[in-house]
Amino acid sequence: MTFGKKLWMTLFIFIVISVGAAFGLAYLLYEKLYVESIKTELAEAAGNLANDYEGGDLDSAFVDQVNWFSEKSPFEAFAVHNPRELAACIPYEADYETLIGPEERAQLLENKMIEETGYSERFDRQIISVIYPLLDEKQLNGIIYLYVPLERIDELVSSLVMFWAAGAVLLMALLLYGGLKWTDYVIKPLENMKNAAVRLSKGDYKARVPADSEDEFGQLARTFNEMADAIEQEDEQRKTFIATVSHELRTPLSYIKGYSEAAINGIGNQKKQLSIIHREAIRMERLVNDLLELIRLDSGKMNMEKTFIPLADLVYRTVDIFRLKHDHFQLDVDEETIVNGDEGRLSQVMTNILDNAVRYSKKKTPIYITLKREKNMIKWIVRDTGAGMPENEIPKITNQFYRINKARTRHDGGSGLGLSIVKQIVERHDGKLMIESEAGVGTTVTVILPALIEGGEEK
Amino acid sequence: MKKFILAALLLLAGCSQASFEPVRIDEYAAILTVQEPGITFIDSDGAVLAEWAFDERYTGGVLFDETILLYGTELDHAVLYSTKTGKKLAVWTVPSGITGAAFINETKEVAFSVKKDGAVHFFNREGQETEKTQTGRYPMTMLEHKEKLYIINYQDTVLSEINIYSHKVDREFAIPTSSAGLAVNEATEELWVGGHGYGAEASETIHVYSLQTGSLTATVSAPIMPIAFAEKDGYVYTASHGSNKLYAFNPERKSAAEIEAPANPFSIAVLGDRVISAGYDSSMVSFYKEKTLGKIKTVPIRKGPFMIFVKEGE
Repeated sequence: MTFGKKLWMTLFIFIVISVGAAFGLAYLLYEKLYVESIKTELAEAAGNLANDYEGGDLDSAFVDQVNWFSEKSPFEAFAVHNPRELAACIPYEADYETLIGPEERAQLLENKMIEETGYSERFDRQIISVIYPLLDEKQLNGIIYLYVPLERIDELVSSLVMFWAAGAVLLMALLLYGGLKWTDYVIKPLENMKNAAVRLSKGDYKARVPADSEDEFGQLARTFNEMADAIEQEDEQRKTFIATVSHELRTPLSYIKGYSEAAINGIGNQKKQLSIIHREAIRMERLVNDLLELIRLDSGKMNMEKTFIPLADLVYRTVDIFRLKHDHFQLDVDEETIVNGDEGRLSQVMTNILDNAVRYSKKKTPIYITLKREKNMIKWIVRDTGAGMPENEIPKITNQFYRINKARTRHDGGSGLGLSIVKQIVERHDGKLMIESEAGVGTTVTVILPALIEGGEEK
Repeated sequence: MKKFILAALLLLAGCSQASFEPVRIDEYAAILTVQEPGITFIDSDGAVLAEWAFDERYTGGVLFDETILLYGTELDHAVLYSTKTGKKLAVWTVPSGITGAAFINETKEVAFSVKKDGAVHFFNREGQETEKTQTGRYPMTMLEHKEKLYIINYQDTVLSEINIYSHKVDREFAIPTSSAGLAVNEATEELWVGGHGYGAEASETIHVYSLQTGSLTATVSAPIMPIAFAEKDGYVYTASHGSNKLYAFNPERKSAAEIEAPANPFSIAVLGDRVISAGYDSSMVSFYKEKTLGKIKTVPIRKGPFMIFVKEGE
């Protein structure tokens, strides 16, 4: 059974119960309030009439008075003085139905009023009645009998029963139709989400659901859309990555193919050609290595062999490597900084960052390197005064194969994966990579790592 | 331990020998009450001689030879008590649905009128049924007079006259239905028949029949619903329970006196020179002077007095 049907069934049951309860309550109120109030009125009227009885035989004036009252009031009233009707002959067997029975007579003889509700054979209908004794000493000289036909609530509406039934059916139909519509409205977002999920699973990453409402369904729809966005973006990145990798590999391959053909055919300077082929092979090797590295980092398969490393040493060693390419470094290094990390990986981080700084800086411009401890953090800052980049490019430069100047790609010699790798490694060390840059002014890259405090604990 | 056994024995003896207070004088009235089942014995001054309370509801009885035989319409047995000793003498097995009883002195038989089979059943003094005579629908009030037993058939229109020796119906009198109450005016040889009336119509007259011809000779007005009679010295006393009235009629059938009775009187009797009547609703017994019905006194009694039996002194 679908959720919609369940909801509709629940609604249906509630409606049936409600209509039943409404009828029951009306009946109860009728019984309790209407019948009780009629009884009280009857008793009062009977008492007032009986007050005029002064003892002795019932005279015709009194009987007439009761009859007059019966005509003028909404109640049926009569006075009875025939002892046959008053069960005076009991315990002799009566040959007809007396107005009152022996128990009632006994009660009346004790000057107690009798109230009855129910079917009366004599009047052949449901009545509410009050019997008031007219006693003279111990003699029951008569009674005042007051009654009002007790129209049961279904009798009351018997003339209207068709209308009532039609009304009830109409109301039920209306409520059920409304309920059906409402159920549809309520489960519509769920339906939408189900359909969108089916489309997503079949590869349609553009599938989205409307998320206009502010309720839980709206929130769920927004979350669903965010999830779909993420999937779509991931898919997009995957496609781009494959295209980029293919492109990046094809470039050195076309060099190698072209120059090797020239060499085979004996065209041009063979040595130069071989040198180019060699250079491009190195590039390919580096590209493939970087890719492997990145994939390993991405999939979390790369093991970090962490040890306590004095970062200052690492900085000095790396800078020394780059001194051949660039000779203007300004160092401000705190020698006491120690981190818990994988030395090889952190060395790679420094290499990649310095590689970028050197690549985009002019020969004579300084590259500032700072290593310091701030509270529990170690900050390693590399600032160049090179080309820099527009602010809007900054968030993208850690993306794979992202280059600011697309044309400069191969000429610059980078794989376009360097900062992606840096970011991954830093994050695996619970650290953070921050890049600030301004086009034409320079770039500052800050690596923040947790410091190792005394006792060997990272903070 | 001995004391305990003695007490237990006494208790057992008390249970098995239901014995009531004996009535030691010769002239009294026994009043049967049905709402509080029992019998109250009183003398002509209204003094209570004894009060018996029963576990079962007796609706009638008959007094003879210092015993009282009690029956109930719903019971299938009748119980015989000695008034002299207050002891239960015998339990008779009788048909259920008994509505009346009479003691026939000449044959020493007890006649029961039984509504179910519309017959009168005759029992000897040992409690054995000897004869059964069909009479009519719902035989009820019975009276024995001069070797004849007169029976009112309550839901019929005939009064049956049975010969006490042959147990055969000799004659039938045409009477109104729902008749109740019988008396014989010995002075005039008349049978007085009262009644409740038919349906919702309340009877107001007494029908008087000649015992010789069996025909209706007169009607006497005694509103409303005269149903109980007593007779002495040619005077007939009537209780009309519908109007709570007592009437005294002289031998000429003229009303000699009339007085208010205790509420809803079902019974009237003559005890010595007193007329007594009991009110079923008021549970009161009133004493009146004979002939003039001058009220002497009223005494309270157990609830629902229905019949009065009189034991005349020797």
